[in-house]
Amino acid sequence: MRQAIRALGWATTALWVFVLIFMGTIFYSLANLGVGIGQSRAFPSNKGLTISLPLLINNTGYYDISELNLTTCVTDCNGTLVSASTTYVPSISRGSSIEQAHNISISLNDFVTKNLTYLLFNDSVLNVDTFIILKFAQTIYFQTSTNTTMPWGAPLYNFSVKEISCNLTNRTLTVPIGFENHSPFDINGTIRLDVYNDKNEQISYGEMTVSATPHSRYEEQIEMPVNLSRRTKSGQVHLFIETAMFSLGPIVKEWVTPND
Amino acid sequence: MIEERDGKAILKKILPRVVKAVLSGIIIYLAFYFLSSLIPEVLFLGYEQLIFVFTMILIVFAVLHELSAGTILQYAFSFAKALLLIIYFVYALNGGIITATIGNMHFTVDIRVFLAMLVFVNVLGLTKSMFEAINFLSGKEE
Repeated sequence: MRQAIRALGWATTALWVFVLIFMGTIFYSLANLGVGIGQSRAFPSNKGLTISLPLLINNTGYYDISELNLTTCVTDCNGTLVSASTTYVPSISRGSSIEQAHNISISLNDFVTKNLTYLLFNDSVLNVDTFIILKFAQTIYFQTSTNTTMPWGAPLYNFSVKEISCNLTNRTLTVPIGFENHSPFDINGTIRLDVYNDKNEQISYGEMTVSATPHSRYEEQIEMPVNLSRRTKSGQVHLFIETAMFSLGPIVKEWVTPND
Repeated sequence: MIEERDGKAILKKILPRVVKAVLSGIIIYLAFYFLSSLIPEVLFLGYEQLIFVFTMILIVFAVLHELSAGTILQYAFSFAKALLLIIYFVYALNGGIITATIGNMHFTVDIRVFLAMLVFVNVLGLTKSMFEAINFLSGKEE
């Protein structure tokens, strides 16, 4: 019995010492852990917009950091997921540091597929939820989350088809189109127009190239041959926008010609 | 005359225990005071009261342990201390999942492995007290 008690006593003492040292070194390591997120940088990509967040971790503690997972979810004001990006770092051993870029990609084509086309035409505020999960000393899981907002500039802000005029001598329709590019990327592509009369018969067709630099206003007009016999005083114009980043259409706009 | 001699004998027996008890209480308090000054204050935010309770548990049981030395109560107190510490750790560490919010940042720390270690150490202490109590009682029987 005495032997068992003595063994238990030693085991308890040894374990207490181990736990206390473990706790102390964990506190020390956490206090000396350097985690930082650098200045974010937004740049246009072939899909839309990429925001790059430099992640810096300097592990000067006694324990390894493993399974570091940085996830960013971008949602619109209604909570619809716009983009989700993940950066995974399998291990940051003690005494080492890492510097890794976390890229958040916002694809404009996803706006069309996810029924978020309003973001192409209206400025808005996007919610950015960031989650960091990591395992410390192979035993302690640490998770942190934060949410911020970022302004969103629409690439086709205030897109409008102005008053359509008809030139009876030239047999042409003139359609003025305008929008403001509030986004940080260039809009290069084509706009196709199908003009219909009030009986839903196609009376004209035309295509124009578009080039709008960031934060600029675009205003152009397109002249298209018209079938005068089918012309009515009102109707619809169907617009199809094709750019390298997104394809959109048909955008249906009503038109009315003034009395001529 | 006999009563006076008995009183002196009891005092002679009790006094060292009381001094020892007071000293162990002071040592534990000073140890915690020293340790808490070493660890960054930010890690204690919201846990000051729980740390105070932990220190008090250790001090009270250290005093009781010293005062009841040589009796079965000594082991009963050791047993109670280990049991109380298990309950305390499970409660204080919220079952191993600690959450906190600072500004718009939410933190969750999963320290269930660490909690398991603490519980295991105290279970060992609990077992040891039981064995000691049995040993004490069997020694008295002999």
